Amino acid sequence: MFSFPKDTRADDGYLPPDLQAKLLLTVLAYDKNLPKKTTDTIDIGLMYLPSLQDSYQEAMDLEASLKKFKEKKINGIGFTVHPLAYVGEQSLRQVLQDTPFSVICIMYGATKDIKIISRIFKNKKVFSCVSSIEAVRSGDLSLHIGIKEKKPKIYINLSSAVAEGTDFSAKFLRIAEVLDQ
Amino acid sequence: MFSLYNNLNIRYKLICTFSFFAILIGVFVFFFFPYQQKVQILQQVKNNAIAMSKMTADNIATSLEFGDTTTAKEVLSILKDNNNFKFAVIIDSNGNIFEEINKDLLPQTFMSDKSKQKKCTLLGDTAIAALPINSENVVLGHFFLGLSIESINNKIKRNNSIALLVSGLLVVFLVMSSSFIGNIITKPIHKVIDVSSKIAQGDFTIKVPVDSTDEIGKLADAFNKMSKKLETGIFELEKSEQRYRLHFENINDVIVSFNEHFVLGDISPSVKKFLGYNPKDMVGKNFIELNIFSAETIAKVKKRGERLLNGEQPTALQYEFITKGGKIKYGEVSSTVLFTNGKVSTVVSIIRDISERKRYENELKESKIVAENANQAKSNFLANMSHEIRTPMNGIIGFTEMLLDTRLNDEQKDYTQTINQSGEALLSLINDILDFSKIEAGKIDFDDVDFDLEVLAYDVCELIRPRIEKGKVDVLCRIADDLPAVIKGDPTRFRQVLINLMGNAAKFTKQGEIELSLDIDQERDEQFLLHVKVRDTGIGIPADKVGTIFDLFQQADTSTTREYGGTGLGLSICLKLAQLMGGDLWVESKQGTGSTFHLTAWLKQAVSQKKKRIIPAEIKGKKVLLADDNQNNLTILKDVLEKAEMEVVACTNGRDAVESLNHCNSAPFDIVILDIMMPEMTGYEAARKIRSQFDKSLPLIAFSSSIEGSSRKCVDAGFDGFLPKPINRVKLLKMMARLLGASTSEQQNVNNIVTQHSMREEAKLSVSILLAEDNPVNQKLATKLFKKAGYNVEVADNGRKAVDLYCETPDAFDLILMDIQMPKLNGLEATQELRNKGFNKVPIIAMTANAMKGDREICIAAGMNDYIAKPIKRDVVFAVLKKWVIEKT
Repeated sequence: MFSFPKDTRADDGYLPPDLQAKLLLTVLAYDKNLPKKTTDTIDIGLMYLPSLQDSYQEAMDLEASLKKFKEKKINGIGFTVHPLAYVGEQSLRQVLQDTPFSVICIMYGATKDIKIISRIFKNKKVFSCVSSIEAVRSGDLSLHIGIKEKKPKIYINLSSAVAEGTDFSAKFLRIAEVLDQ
Repeated sequence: MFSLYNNLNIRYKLICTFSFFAILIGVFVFFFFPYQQKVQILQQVKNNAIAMSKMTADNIATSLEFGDTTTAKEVLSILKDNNNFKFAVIIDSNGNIFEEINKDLLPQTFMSDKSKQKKCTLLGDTAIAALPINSENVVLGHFFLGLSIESINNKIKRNNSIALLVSGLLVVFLVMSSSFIGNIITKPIHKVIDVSSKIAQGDFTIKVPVDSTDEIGKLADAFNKMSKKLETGIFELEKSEQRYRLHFENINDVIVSFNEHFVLGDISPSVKKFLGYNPKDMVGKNFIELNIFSAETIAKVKKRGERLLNGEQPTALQYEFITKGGKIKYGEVSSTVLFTNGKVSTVVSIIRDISERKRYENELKESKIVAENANQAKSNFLANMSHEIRTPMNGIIGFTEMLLDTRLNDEQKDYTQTINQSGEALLSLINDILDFSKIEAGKIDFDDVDFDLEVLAYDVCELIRPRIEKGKVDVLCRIADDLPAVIKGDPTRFRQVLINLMGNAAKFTKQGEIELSLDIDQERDEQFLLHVKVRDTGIGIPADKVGTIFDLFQQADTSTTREYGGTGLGLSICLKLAQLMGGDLWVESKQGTGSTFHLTAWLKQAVSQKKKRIIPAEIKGKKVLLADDNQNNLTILKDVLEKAEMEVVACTNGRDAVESLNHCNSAPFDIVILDIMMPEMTGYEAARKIRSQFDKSLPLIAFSSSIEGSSRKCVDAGFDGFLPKPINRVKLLKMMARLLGASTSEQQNVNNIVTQHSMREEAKLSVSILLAEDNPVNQKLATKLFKKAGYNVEVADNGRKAVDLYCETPDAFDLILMDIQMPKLNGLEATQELRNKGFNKVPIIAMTANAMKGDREICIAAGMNDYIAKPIKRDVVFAVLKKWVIEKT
C-alpha cells in the first residue's frame, strides 16, 4: 500500500493512490460497525512522520485521491480526510481526544512506535490501515491493501480488526486474505 | 346433421352423446393439462434460473467490486454442479468480461444488454437468466446464466404422452360405458317395441316381461296395463262399430257425411228408400251436382254447408228434396261437424223423411185457419148475442123491478118476482158464460185504474144485503187499517169476484153472520198481496166436495143446484180471475158450521194520489157508548171508533147500555150507537129508555141488518140517525160528525132523522141527468127509474141531440148517461165532441149492451168516466150516480 519501501510490501506491484483510495473506501463499506461509530461524517486520518518527506508526500497523494471520491457515501455517510503528523504518543492521544477518527491510515515511516500506536488504536477503537503487511500479520494493525499476482489484494488481521471495533461481513472476508495466526 | 342424430335409435344416440363428451373431455385433458404443466414447469425453470443467478450475483458482487476474479471463478465453478448448467458470464460495468464459463454459448445480443431488471428468456433449449450486479445501488456489472431445459422439454413430452394415453383410455371407457348403458336401457324398450308391433297386428296375448321395479319395469307394467285397456277398448270399439253399422244399415233416417268440397262420404242404405238412389251411385260425388235439390234449395244447402264448415252451430233445418223419380219429398236435416287439426273437416247429417209430417202440418195449418175463422165468427156471434140478448133483458129486468114497486096483489107480486129472478138468473148465466169464454180464450184484460177498495167492499156488502135472510144474518165488513186508501187494479173484476163470493155466502147462510175482511199479507216494491176472507156461518161444504167446487159446473151436490140455483161456473171464473190477478182462491169449510173463502190478489198502490183516511174533527176525543150483541161486529166497530180517536164503551145488550149511561155522571157520553136486534132489550126499547131518562139532546144512532121500515120505527123510538149493517166506516164517521156538530151548534130537529138515504136524498133532488139513448124501451125504463128515484132526467134520442142539448145549457146537467150505439152520432163520438169543446168536468157514463173485451177501455179512451153494462140494474146505476154526483157534492 501506498509508496511503501519495497521490503515492507506484499508483492512487487505498485498500487496507484486512486485505486488505494477506492479500495479503502470499498473496504470501509463492509464494516457493519462503522455507521454505529458516527452519524454525520466519517473522519479518516492520514498519519505521517513529519521528518520524512516521502511519508508526508504519500499522505498528500492519498489525501488527493480520497478527495476525488468526496461525493461517495460509505453506507450512506460522507467522509472527511485529515492529514495527521505523528509526533509522539501524547500528541496522538490528544489528537484522538479532540477528533473521533474512525479510520487512520499510517503512512510510510510512521510505524516506529507501532506497539504504542496499536494499543492506542485498540483502546480508542480506531480502525487502522497500514502500508506494512508485517504489522498486519503481527496483529498490531488490521488492514493492508496490496498487490498479489498483479491484482489488488486485501489483507486483514481479523483479531486486530475486531479489537479495533470492526465487524466485517462474510462477503468481504471471502475476498480478503485473513492473516491471523 | 341434427335430423340424422334424431333418426338414430336411443342406443346410438347415447353412444354418440357420450362419445362426443368423452372426446371433449379427452381433448381437454390432452391439451389443457400438459399445457398448464408446461407453463408451470417453465415458469419454475425461469424462477430457478433467476434465483440461481441472483444468488450467484450476490456472491460475486464483492469480487467484482474488488476485481477479485479468483473468487468469482470459484463462485462460478459451483454452478457447474448443476446438471442443467450451460454457461455463466460476468460482465463488468465497462462491458468487459470479468469472468466466464462457456461464454461462447451466450448469444452476442445478450452481451450488450445493460438492463437493470432481472429477467429470464427461453431460447431454444436454453433458459437464459440475466440480471445486474449491484452494490450500494451501483450497477457493478451484469451476470448471465444459461441453463439447459432439454430435460424439462423431455419431461413435458413424456407428460403429453401420458395425457394422450389417459384421454384415449377415457374416451374408450366412456364409449364402452355408453354402449353398455344404452344396451341396458334400450333392450326393454326393444321388447316393448316388439310387443307393441304384435299388438298393432292384433295379438294382445303377448306381454312385456316385467323384470325389475325400476322405471323400465314400471314402463313395462304400464304398457301391459295399457295393452289390456286397449284390448278392452278395441273390443268395445268393435262392438260399438257393429252397433253403429247395424243402426247405419237399418236406420230409417238417412245418414250422410260430406267434406269441405261437398263430396259425399258414407251414405246409409236408407237413402234408397228416401230418394230412390243406390248409395254406391252417390258416394264420391259432389251432392250439389246431384239432382236431389231444386236450384233454389241448392243455394240454401250450399250456404248452410259453408256456414257449418266455417264453424257455425248446427241446427235442424228442413229442405225440399227431389227423388230419383222426380217426386218432391221433405227432409229435416240435423248436422254435426267433425274437426281435424282444429278445423271442420267433415259434416255428418241425419236426414229424416218428414214428408208425411209436412203433409199433416199443411193440413193442420189449413185446419187452424179454418178454426181461427170459426173462432172469430164465434167471438163475433158472442158479441152480437151479448148485445142482442142484453137489450131485451134490460127491458125485462128493469120493468119487472119497476112493476114490483107498484101496487100488486100477492099473486101478481109473486109472478113478477119470478120473472125478475128468472131474468136475473138468465143474465147471470149469460154473463158467466161470456166471462168463461173470454177467460178460456185468453182474451180477458184487466184494467189498471185507481179505486178505493174500502168503498168497493162496502158497496158489495150493500149490494148483497137485499139477498140475505132479513133479521137473521148480520153482514160485517172488516177493513185492515194499513190498507191503502187508493189502489191500482181492475175494480170491475175485483167487484165481480167479491160479489160472487159474498153472493154465495148470502145464498147459503140462513142465520148468523157473513163477514168480509180485507188484509194485507205481503208487500214488495209498490205492490201488495191483498187477502180477502169471506166467512159465513152457512151450511158449509162436505169435506169430500171441497176439492171440486172450483171445477166447472160443479156444486157441492146436485141438490144444491136444485135448491139454491146457479150454473156452477161462478167459482171457476173467480178462481181463474184470482189467478190472473197473481193470486189464488181456496176454501176452508166444515159442513153445518160455515165456510171461509180466501181470495188473494197482487194489487198496486196508487202512486199518483195517496189519499189519507180523514177523521172528522168533530168526533175526535168524544166518548161513545156502543151496544151490539154480535161480538164480531162489536169488535169491528170498537176498532173503527178507537182508530177515529174516540173513547169507546162497548156492551152487548140494551140493558147494559142503559146501565152504562146511569153510571157515567162524572164523564157523560157524547153519542150512543145501538144495534136494533139485541137480546133482553132491543135497540128501540133502549132508545126509548134513554130518551125518557137522560138528556134529550144526546145523539142516538141505530144500526141494523134489516132496513125495511126501520126509518119510521127509529124516529118513533127517538133515534137521530140510522145506518144499515155492515156499517160503512166513512158513513158512520160522517153521520157522527154531523150529529155532534149539530148538537153543539144548533138544536137538531128531533123529527128529522138522518139516514144514509136522507143524506143522499138531499143531494139527489138537485141532480139533473142527460140520458142519451135511442132505444125507446130503454128510454122509458131509465126515465121512470131515475124520476122515481127523485132525479131530474132529460132524454136525447141520439148523440147529436145530446151534444146540442148539453151545449145549450151545460149548467143544467150534472151527469150524462151515454148509450154507445146510437144513430147520427154514436156515444163515443158524442163524448169526444163534448170533451173537445172543453166540457171536461161533467161525468159521462157509458151505457152499453156490448159486454165484450175492450169495451170499457174504448169508452174511457173516448173521454168517458165510467161504464155500465146493460141491462141497466137499478142498484148498479144508483151506485154509479152516487159515486159521480152525490158523493162529489
